[in-house]
Amino acid sequence: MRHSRLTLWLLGGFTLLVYAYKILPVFVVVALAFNPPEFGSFPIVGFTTRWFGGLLDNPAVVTAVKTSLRLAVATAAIATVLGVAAAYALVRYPFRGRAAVQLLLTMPILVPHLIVGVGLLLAFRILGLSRSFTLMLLGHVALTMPFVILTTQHRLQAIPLYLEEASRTLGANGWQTFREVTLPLAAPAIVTGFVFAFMSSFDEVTATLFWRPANFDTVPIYVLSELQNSVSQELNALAAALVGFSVGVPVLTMLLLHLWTSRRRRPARAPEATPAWQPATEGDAR
Amino acid sequence: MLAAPAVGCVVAFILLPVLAMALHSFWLRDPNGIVIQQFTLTSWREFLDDPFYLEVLGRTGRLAAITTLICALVGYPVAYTLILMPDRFRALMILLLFLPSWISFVVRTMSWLHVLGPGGLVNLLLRRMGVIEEPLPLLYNDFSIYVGMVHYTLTYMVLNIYIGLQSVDRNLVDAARTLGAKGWHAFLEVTLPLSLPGLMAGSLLVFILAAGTYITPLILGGTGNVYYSNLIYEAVIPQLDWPLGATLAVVFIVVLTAVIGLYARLAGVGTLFRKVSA
Repeated sequence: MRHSRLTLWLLGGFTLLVYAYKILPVFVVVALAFNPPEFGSFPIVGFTTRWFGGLLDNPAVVTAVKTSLRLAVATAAIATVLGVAAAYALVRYPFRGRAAVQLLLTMPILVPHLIVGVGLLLAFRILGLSRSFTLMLLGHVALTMPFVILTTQHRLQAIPLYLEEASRTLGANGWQTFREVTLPLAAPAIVTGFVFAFMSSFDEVTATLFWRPANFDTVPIYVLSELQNSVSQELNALAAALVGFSVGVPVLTMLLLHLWTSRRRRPARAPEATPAWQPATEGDAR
Repeated sequence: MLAAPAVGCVVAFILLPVLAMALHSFWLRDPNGIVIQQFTLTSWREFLDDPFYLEVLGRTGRLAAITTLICALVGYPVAYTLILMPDRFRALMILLLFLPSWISFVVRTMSWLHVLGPGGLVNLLLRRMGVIEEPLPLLYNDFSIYVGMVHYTLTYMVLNIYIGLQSVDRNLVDAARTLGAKGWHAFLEVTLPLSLPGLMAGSLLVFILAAGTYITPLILGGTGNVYYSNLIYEAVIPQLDWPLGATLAVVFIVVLTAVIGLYARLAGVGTLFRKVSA
């Protein structure tokens, strides 16, 4: 696809503008969070970190952070266990109705969180149960699990069957094979799925507002309710901290995964590229 | 057997709740606000008798459609540029595209208050440059809602178009050119039609996301900017009128299912699901 220089410049310039639109607004909040005046808006006249210190003294913020962390860790743990099991079944066992199960497990991605929020709340009410942490947890598992299944499934499909067959031939049973062969090879994808579930649970607000007990705030819900008043500097600081957290966690995960996989690259990579018994062509001087 | 818990989760927490909503929409809410499991058409009658609800539904459909259109027009050139980039650079650009979607949705939306508000960045810059005297009304109206909606949904559009464009065989474009098609002509006749499944999948996803969020209008909208998803939230949480909320939600599901069904007929259900889940 060849293009004139003018077309390329126009496309490039337009793309840069769109990226600025996507990324810059968030930096505005971060910049404002370090602004000394108490009123949380422009102009920026100096630099201070005291608004961040104030967050730790605010019991409402601390409680909300604890709630969100508990919820997100529990969600990610449950969603990962169930999701990996389902992904393994979908990739390795050609059972009847697999296509239907696949569709069913992917479908929640297309259902608006609003609908899941209202529906699960009303289903709980029919059972005589009220809004609770459990309701939030179950809902978050249902919302995040499809993403764990998709990432894990993708990775499992890339692991050649003969590795598991070899393990079985050498006398390992199904569970041993899964634990010793499949799991280590799929681990990066599973970790990615776990972090993804953790982050989306931590961030979820649309459905969570329907499930939380009265006056029971997660971090995003706390921010949302504070926004009903004017934007304070403390709120800007909390928002900036959230930006740092939500960029930091995935970036850190990616770095750690990169270090981890490159450290054990040899055993992990060989089966991906070529079967172990074939001569490696990589690095072959031709 | 291994998939059973996951399937159970989806059935119990996604499908059965739809049934729960359908049931609630036919139940009675007594004057004290308590829901009694007794058949009535009260909520449905209220929905159908008051033109307000259908009017808001129409307004929401327009909001979602215009958001989708803007996303398609803005997203296509971006996805196309990504395809043209060298591999290394492209990986970085795709990472940057995803970066904002990791950041808390509420924070992302709230950041526009500082950009568009009367004392916000845009008005500040325009005033410093002497372009305007009084701050422009950029916030708490349709404009800020569209800015926020497109900001939220654009990534999904770009990604789906990008996946669609990736599957276009470049040899076909070159062949069209060899056969005499000029740049634009080759694009319109070959690249665009072949990338259409990605564009369609992205559009569907954006439409559903835009129709289903009440957070963006809640933060960036004014008093006049009421959308259908806000009505559902208002009925269920502050007013605790579950039968009415359930009725509104059931209508919402029916409308969205009709949209998805229409789409599936146009695009083919297989491609659509493959693209959306890709």
